[in-house]
Amino acid sequence: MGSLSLEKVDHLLWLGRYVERCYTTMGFLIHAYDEALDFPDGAWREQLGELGFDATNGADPIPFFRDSLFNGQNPSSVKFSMSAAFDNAVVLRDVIGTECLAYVQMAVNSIEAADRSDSPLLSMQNVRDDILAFKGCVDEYIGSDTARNLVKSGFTVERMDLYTRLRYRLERLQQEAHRLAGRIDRIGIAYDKEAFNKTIQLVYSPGFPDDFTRERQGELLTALAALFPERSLS
Amino acid sequence: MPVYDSLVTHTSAINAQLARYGVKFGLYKNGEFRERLFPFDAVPRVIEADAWDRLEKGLAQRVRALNAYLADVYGAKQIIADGIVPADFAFASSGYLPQCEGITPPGGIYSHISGIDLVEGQDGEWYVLEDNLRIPSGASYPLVARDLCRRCDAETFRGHIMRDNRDYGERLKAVMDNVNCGGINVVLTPGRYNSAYFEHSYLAEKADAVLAEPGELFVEDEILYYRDAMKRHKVGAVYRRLSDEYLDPLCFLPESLIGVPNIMAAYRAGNVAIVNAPGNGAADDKGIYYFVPKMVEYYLGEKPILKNAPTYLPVFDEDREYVLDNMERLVVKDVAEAGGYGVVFGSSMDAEQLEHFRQAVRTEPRRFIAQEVIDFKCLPTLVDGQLQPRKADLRAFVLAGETTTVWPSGLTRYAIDADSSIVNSSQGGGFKDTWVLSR
Repeated sequence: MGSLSLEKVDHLLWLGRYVERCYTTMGFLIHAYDEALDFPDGAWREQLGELGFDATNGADPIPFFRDSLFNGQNPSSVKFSMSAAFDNAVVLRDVIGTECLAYVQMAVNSIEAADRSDSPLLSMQNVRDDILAFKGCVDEYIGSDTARNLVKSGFTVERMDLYTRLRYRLERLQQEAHRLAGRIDRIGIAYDKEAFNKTIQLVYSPGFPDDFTRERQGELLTALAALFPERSLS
Repeated sequence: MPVYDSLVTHTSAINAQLARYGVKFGLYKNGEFRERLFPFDAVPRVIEADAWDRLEKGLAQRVRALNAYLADVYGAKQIIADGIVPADFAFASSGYLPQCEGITPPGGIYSHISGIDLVEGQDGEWYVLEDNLRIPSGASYPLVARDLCRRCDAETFRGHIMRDNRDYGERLKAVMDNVNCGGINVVLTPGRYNSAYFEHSYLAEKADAVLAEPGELFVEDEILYYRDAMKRHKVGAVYRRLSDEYLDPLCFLPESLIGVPNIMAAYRAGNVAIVNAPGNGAADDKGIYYFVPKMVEYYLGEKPILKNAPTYLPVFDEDREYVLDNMERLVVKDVAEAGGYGVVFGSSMDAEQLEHFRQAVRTEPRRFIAQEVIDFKCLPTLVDGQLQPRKADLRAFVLAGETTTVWPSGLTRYAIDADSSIVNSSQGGGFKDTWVLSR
């Protein structure tokens, strides 16, 4: 299978982005949950606001975490992201292969099982396992270099976006930018070179990440958003 | 002890794997799309080698005759001129498309992939219930299931007692390559909300074809192209999995949003093969079914190997009288319906309903056929941990490429309820693997 329509290119990129959004958001929610046990009104509330969650109200954080993981109507939730990843993956079977697609399906199934579980956060480990297996499958089963690089670019751009938004693991942004630089010319679609250069310039600027001001944070988010054309499909 | 005893113990593990692979079919209920897992029963249908040899010959014979009929009905119409098939049957069928008149498809093949539905009577005789020559679904399910069964029960499969069925993808590719007019092979799907989307995507993968939605294809100068992100690719063969009427809004339904404008012009010009050919409904109409044994004799000069279920056409006076007099023991089918809909057993109707149907048959005789109820065999099926008899049919897949061959397998569907004969997945039924014994 060597031909990729624009629609499939779009789906591949967004498959990577949504899988990563699910994975990183889940990791952050579990981290924030742990923090909330000790500091119910800690910084986690504000940080989660950056992801689109409204964590400002409610004395008891537990219902909030449950909603953030499992409310499929909430576009910021883990369940929503995984479902959106599946929507992109299911139309790509001929490109990514049944084995690869199965791990996305399994992650969707695992979220549903975790939602029914007595210990949902523990059960979410299965979702992490499925996603990590999917990431391994990308190298193992996707034969097309273009397709593989598109999915991986999706992972990277989303991770950079989330780390930036949350001001979380900022020290890893240079590594992610380096990865992106190695792939972006192999994805087979046009991208915004100016936005890419701006991204590199910001994360490699002297003093980064210590002097990563709010202004620069905004510039980086804008550059990341401009890297690829606006998504045409919903 | 049946050879599949050890396999049966793995039923739930196999179903769990089918869920993992997303082996589903879609349903629209109350305007809402839902996907359901297709329940798998690990007790296979087993067909003896001798019985299969006869079936194989009969199925290939039937499809060769149906292909000849399609060439004739859209060409010389000799069978009509010779009075074998009445003109009003041939041309009043909703599947007959005047737009296909005079078109000879590449290789002269109309029905490349035919799904023939059969049942095995209590007497051991196989009866054809229906020919599906448009876009028959179902091959992917036994394909996936066989693979999983092999993984969980080495003992059963080590002896190669059944014929291998895992080459369906290669067979499909060969069928497409045989008529390819130069270019890539494409599986055209209406999209992920189609009831058989799993199958579309799975077969594209297995046949090494591009899975395309209508928006990814376009026609220019009577050539069909697939729109790549970088360039366009000529399409030589398209295995379309959408119905004729939606295929080309410039030729069929103008309101179709899922078709490819001008694909029929490319087809008519001989620049692309459409698998299966548009217009095949002219031969798989429930009314035309009655005439298929006659077609075998007419076109091939052979005695039909496979039997039809005894069928009556109310449009004929004598048949109509018989149907009206015996409706309570016949099964009446609306020729315009499919998927188990529009099938009514006289025995299940009360007096008022019987009278209602009698009136409908009197008013619109061409709309119905009636058949004797075949008391077909039940197969042992695992229900609540116990083997219980369930009615089951078989959809056999006949592939017409360089030669006409029969896939040594098929989709065996079983009824979910003990007292039901309706096996369609859309009606809640499940499926089984079909073992064709090697010797």
